[in-house]
Amino acid sequence: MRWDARLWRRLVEGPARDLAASLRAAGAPDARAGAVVESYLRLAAEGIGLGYLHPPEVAPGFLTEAFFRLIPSGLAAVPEDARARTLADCWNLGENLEHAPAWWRRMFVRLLDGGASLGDLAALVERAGREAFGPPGAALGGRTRLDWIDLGAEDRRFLPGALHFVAPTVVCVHDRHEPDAAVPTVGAWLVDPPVVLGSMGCAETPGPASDRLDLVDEVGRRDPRAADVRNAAANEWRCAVTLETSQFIVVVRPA
Amino acid sequence: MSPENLIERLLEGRARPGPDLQVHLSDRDGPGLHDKMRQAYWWIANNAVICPYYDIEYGARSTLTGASGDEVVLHDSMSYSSFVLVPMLTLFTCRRALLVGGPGRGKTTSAILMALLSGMSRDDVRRSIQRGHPQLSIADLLGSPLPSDLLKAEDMSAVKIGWRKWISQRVKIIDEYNRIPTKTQSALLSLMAEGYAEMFDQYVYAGRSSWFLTANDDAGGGTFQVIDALKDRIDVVVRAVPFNSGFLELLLRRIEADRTPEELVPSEIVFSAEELERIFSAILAVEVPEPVRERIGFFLGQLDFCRMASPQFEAMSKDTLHLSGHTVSEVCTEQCPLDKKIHLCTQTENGVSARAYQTALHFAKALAYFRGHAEVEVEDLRQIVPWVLHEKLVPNARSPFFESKDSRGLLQDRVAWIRRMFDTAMDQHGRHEPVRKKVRALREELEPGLEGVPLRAVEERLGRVGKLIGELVKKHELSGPVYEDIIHLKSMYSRYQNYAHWLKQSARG
Repeated sequence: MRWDARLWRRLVEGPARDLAASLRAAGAPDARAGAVVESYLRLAAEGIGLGYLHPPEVAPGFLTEAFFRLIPSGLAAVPEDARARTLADCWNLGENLEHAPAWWRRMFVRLLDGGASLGDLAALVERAGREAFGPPGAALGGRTRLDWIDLGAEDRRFLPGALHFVAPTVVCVHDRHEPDAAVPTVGAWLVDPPVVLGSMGCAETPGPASDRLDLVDEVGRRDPRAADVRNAAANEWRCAVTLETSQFIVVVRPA
Repeated sequence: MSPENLIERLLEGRARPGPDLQVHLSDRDGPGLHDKMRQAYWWIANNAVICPYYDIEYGARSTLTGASGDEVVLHDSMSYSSFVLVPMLTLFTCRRALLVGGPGRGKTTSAILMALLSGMSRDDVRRSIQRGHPQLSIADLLGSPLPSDLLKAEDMSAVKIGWRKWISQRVKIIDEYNRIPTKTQSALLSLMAEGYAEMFDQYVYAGRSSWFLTANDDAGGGTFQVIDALKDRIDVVVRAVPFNSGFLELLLRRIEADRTPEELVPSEIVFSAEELERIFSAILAVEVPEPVRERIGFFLGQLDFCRMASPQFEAMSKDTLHLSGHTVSEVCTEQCPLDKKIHLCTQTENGVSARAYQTALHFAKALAYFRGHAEVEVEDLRQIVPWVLHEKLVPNARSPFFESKDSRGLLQDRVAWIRRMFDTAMDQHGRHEPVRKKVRALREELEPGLEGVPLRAVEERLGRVGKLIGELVKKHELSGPVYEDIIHLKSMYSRYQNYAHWLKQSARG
C-alpha cells in the first residue's frame, strides 16, 4: 500500500474543514473541537495508509462514507462528551468490516444511505443484525410478491446457477459455469427494495435444490417469464429461483 | 448470529476514547503484523541495503537463453532479496543466521538493522556487538567476577559475576566469529546451543533471541577453525550480494547526505517486544499441509541413504560410513547399481538431521506468514531450504553426477545445487507417489494405536504390511525413497509383531 497524498489533501481541505466549522458552529470550545478534529485526522491518516479510505466516487465503502460525509456533517450533532466515543465506534465498526466478508460492507453502506444516524451506531449495527441475520417479521404463507433482481448488472458474465441462503434474508448465488471449481458468487439481500451485495467469496457447495415445489410453481404461475426454473432455494421467509435463460433471479417474499 | 453478538463483535476494536477527549489507536495485531513485516522489508530493501537482484522468486517462470546456453529466468509474481528477507525471518523466528561474503558487502549493517528493528537503540547495538579477534577471551565475551569478590568470598556462591549486557539482548551480533579463538568458541557454543553460560557455578540465560554471526574471509588471515558443533548450531546462511554499478548514484547520494541508513530507520517499522512475541507465536501457528510435508520428507529423506554403506539393510546410511571413517566418495562408484544421474543420494556426503528438518519447516512457516498465508506451500520450501541447508549438506564432489559440464558448476554454488536437487526430487515424487500412497494408508491405520485391536486384526494387518514390503523389495529398485518406505514399513511390522506377541502371551497368562 502506498500513501495517497492526493486523497489526504482532499480530505484535509474538504471534510476536515467542514467538521471543524460544524463543531465551531455547535459552540464547542476551541480546545475540545481541536481534540476531536485531531483524532479525526489521525484516524483518517491511518485509514488512508491502510487502504481503507478511497475517493468516494471510486469505491464507496463504510469508512469512506463515514469520513467523507457522515462524520463531517453529523458529529457536531452528537453530545460533546460522546463525540470521542462515537469516532472510536465508527472506526472500530469500519475496521472490523474491512476484515469481514465484502457483502457486509455493502449492507452497511445501504443502511447508511437509508438515513442512519452517526449518534447511534449501535442501533445501526443492531438493525443490520436484525434485518440480515435475524428472522424477518413475516413468514411465507400468506400473500406474496415477486422481485426480479438483476445479477448481470454486477457481473456481465455471471450466469446464475445453484443458490443457498447464508442468512434468513441473504441468498448466495453461484455461477453455473464450473460447479466444481472456486466459482464466482453474487449475493442479494432480500429486503425492500432488494440489494445486490456483490461478490460473496463463498467457498461452500450449495445443497440440493429446494423441495418447495409449491413456491417454485407459484413463481411460474405469477409470471410466465419465470417458468424455466433452473434451481431454487427456500427458507421460512424467502424463496429464490434462478432461471435457465436469464441473469435475473426471482424472489418470493411476503407482501 | 444474533444481533447482540454482532454488536459486540463489530463495535469493539483498536480505537478507544481517552480522558483527553482524543481517540487512541492501539497497535494492529493479527493480519496487521505481517503488513508491518512487509513494510519493514520494503523500507530496508528500498532505503538501506542495495540489492542488485531478488533471488527468492515466486510465480510462473519464463526462461531467456543465450547462444552459449546462459539462462536468465524471469518470474511473474512477487520476489524478494534473500539478503534482506532471510535475516528478517531469523529475527522473527529467534534463530541463528550466518552472514557470509566478501568485506564491505553489508553483512554487519544487515545485522545492525535487525537489532534496530527489534527496538534496540543505535548506541546499545554498537556497544553490544561482539567482535571476534584472536585475543578474545571467555571473560571478554561473557563477563567476569569482581576481583574484590574473589578475594573476600569463602564460598563460590558469594562470588558475583558481572555478566556482559549483550547476553540478555533480544538480538545478538557476533562479528567475524571465525576470528574467535577455539577455546572462546566453546563458551559461545554453550550460550548458543544450550541458551545459558556458566561461570563459578553461576548461570546466565540467553533468553529467546536471534543471533547474527558474520564470517570474515579466510584469505584475510587471523582466522581459526570453527568447531563443528558451533557450525552445526547455525540455522541458516545468508549470502551477501555483490554491488551492481547501476546503483552508483544511490551510493553517491548516501555519501552526500552524510547519514547512514541505520540513522534513518523509521519508528513505524520498529517492533515492540510484544509484537515480536506475537509474530513468533503466529508463525508457529502456520500450518504445513500433509502434501507439503510429504514432499519435503520425500526430498530430504533420501539424502542419508547409501546402498554401499552396509550389507545390513538398516545400516545403509551415510552415518554408518562416517562412523567407520569412510566417505561416500570412496564407495559411490560403478559398484553401486544406482544411476548417478537420477538418484540424489550420490550427490551428498551426508544426510540431514532432525534439527535441520525442524529448521526448514520453521523457516518455511515464517516465509509463508511473511507472505500473508495461513499455510506453507511447496514453493516456500523450495525457496528457503537452500539457505537452511547451505552449510549442512556437503556435496560429494567426486560423484559421477558432477562430471558433466552442466553439473560441475553446481559445486561452486550451494544454493543452485540444493535447489536443483529439490526440483529433481519433486519430479520424482509424482512417479513414486503410488507406492507412497500405500505406505501412508498403512500408517494411517496404525496411527490411532493398537489398544483394543484384536489379534486376528493385528495378524491381518501384519500380512498386508509384509506383503507390501515384499512387493517393494522384489519389484522396485532399492533407491533412497524405496529404502525409506521399507524402513518405515518394517517399523510398523515390528510394532504389530510386538503387540501380537504380547496379546498371545496375555491370553496364555
